[in-house]
Amino acid sequence: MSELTAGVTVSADPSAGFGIAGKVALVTGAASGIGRATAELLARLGAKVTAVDINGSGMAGIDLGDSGVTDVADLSVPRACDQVVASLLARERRLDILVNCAAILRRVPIAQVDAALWEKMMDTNLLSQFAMCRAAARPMRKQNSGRIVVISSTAAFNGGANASSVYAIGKGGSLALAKSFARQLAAYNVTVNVICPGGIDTPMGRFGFTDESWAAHYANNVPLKRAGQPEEVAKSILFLVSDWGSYVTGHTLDVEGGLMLR
Amino acid sequence: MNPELKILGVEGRVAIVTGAASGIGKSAAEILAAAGARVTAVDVNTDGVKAAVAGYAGSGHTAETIDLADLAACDALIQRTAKREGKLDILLNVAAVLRRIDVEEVDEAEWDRLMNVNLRSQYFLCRAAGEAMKPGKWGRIVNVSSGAGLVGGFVGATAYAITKAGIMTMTKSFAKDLGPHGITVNTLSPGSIDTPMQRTGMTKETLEAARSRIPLGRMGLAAECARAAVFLASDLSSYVTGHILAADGGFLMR
Repeated sequence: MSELTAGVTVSADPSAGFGIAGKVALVTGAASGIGRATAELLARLGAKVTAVDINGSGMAGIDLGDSGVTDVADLSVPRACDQVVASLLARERRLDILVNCAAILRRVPIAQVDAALWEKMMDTNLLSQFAMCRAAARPMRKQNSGRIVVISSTAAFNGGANASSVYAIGKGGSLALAKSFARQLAAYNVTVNVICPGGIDTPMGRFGFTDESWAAHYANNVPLKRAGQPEEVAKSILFLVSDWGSYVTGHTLDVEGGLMLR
Repeated sequence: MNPELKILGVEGRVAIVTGAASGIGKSAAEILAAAGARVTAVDVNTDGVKAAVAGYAGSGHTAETIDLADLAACDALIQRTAKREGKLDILLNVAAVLRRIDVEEVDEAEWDRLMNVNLRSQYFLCRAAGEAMKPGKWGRIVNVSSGAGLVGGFVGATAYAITKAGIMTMTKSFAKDLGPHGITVNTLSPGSIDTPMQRTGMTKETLEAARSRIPLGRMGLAAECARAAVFLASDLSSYVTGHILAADGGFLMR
């Protein structure tokens, strides 16, 4: 340590672990895909995980260990986001990790996008992230510690495949959202980062593809020649939300097999 | 070994780390060793690299003294290591030189020295390492660049910044080339990390000015940046390639 690194809260010990055990984590979109894989991975490393989804039955069978909780909520409504965080705080008295995975994807050609679709997509994908981050910021500021990850998409950079314009626009918003929170919360030792998944083998990822077009797309366009698995994205999220990500904030981490090389 | 580190999947992996006598390279090599890798530590500073290796957890580590401006030595390093260990899994290109001098004073010798040590060595090490990794169908290459490569560098680090931008482009080229073989190639872009190199040619005032521009309000520890490098060298980053990972306390916000 020196006067230049004063305020650092992680150890320099080379054998230091991830510091996940005992942490209170909130993961949205936990019924399937990246959210579910992340909730289960953090629980396996000893976090007390609250898994949230609009689809309660979809969370049946999720493995959150002994201390995990599930909560059903429609996060497109900011009041519901506040309630999710409030009930978690009533139970755990703190919030260490927030991972925003909840999102929907609709493929609609631009000419057919109406205000209702716009609002539905923006509220579910972007406003929900804003409301969750805002609600989480309060306890994290008080604790002077915290980790937030928001999930964006390669669509934020390339406009989205197969008529997903509104999805892409919302995901572009997630990039700015994360940087804005990162700036405002940095003084409180809270990091806020973005994960940009590419083609991940989840129900949402495969939406609009046939099995053949899916395999061909990744063999042709991705240096790693394959789609990713949700568990692989979860492991990148683990890096960002753990002690190992302590000097990374405001960053957009691409987990896309080299699709963009931006 | 800390059982938590098993998830990294580097136990039994063979790793080469350049610039291992100090700073980020020293710390990254220590972490890889602590996670069960067999590390070949490389530096131009013989005493420094020997002392570093003596401090590693586990056994089977090797210290090498090499001037990376010497291309034949780079190739020989990869061949020798792969032959001795039976394989090569991980290459961390951390070694670099930085001198802060006015742009008018960068002469041909200075230019060549920076280009050769910082950029050319990484290119030829990547190429040789890629060949050595292909049979195992698994590999991780991490090329350490710098935020200077994106924003032009600070306090007389112009030529240095150019080498660091070159590393980012080079990394993407190798990511495309080696991806089909299960080898990921990524750039780590450190911001202001409190290392001997960071302090080179800086005064108390310029260091404080650099610190005050960082959103997290502090410089990073070498260990913090090294963990980002080890993330890219591990199973945790299996679907990340061609990426520029910034470990910079929020400086770039990219």
